[in-house]
Amino acid sequence: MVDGTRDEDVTQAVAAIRLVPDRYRVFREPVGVVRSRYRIDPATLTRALSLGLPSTGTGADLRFDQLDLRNLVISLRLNAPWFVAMRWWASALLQRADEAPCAYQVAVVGQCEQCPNCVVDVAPEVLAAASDVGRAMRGDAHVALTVRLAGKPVGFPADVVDVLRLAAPVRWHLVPNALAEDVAFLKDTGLADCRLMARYLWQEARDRGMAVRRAYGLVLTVPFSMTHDWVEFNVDDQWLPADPLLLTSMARWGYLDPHEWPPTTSPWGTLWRVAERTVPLVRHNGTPARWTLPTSPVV
Amino acid sequence: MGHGLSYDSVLGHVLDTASSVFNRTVSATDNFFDLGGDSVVAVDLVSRLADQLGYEPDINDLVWADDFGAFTRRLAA
Repeated sequence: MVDGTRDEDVTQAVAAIRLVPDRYRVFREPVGVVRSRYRIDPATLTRALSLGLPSTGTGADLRFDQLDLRNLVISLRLNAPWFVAMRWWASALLQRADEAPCAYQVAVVGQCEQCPNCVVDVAPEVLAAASDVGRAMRGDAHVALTVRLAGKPVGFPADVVDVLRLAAPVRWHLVPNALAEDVAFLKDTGLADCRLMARYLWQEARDRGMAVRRAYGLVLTVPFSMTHDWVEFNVDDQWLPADPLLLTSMARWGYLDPHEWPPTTSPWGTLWRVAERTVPLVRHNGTPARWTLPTSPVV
Repeated sequence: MGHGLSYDSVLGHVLDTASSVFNRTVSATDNFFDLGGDSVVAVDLVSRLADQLGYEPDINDLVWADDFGAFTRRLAA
């Protein structure tokens, strides 16, 4: 099934994957989940292996690094469940066409693996940033945040646009945590995920004396919001989000029209800043817990 | 019932599929999130259900339903 076009995609994907040094890999994903969890069919996997997709073991004992498999899914735009979320983001941006302010309700569902149904604490940064805090879902079991976002902002000035254009040659690639702040890796490989791109743009803007800050928070999308990193620029006393890597990637994947959403525009109405850097959104007895964020629009 | 399937028939598909996804027996009174469900699981479950039912359930119905019984009733709407 590996036709000419797909074969080229697989080749490029594996070449990018191999730019990450082996010392960052953890070979935990068994070959048995590659199809069910990642939607990578056997022919594509065989081709990727022949091109040097990193692995350990042989036959039924083959194991892969989770990030490598996720990056293969991204490059090939496979229908894996967590990649479907990228389409939710594109939909959220497209719904901002009316240019009006918008609001969402986000339920914060904590999932403590040690004691199911326990009560978890939502990070104070999250509660402080919300417009309103209440309860929602079955038996008001979960904290519910109301988040209001401003309408369409003014465009970015030329000096900001110059910085955002630095992202143009970079391709979206999930990087190991150890490389998430490593700008040298980005410059050497042309690869970055949202954390590394945020670090890069923040550093470049700061070095030019611009009013810039990092942002960690949520991409507000229905039916689930996701955590994300980006940068914000102060324009006319307003902090405006910028995320050229995301907009470029959405265009490459065919989800957004690059003429309507050029990478130098602000992805407004979807990004909600909670903190400067990553914080656990939910804790139980002081220990970070899992969370999921079901989201609906407030009409 | 919408799409010509009875509530009991759809509920059977829903519970079988959810049991497979969560790798445990799921009942009509179980809540998706109480079982540990998240966005990835929701997409997977809806995708598998679409194969079973022949139409794609609205993922929002799954997310906001109190339990799998209520989700099944929303599938009829």
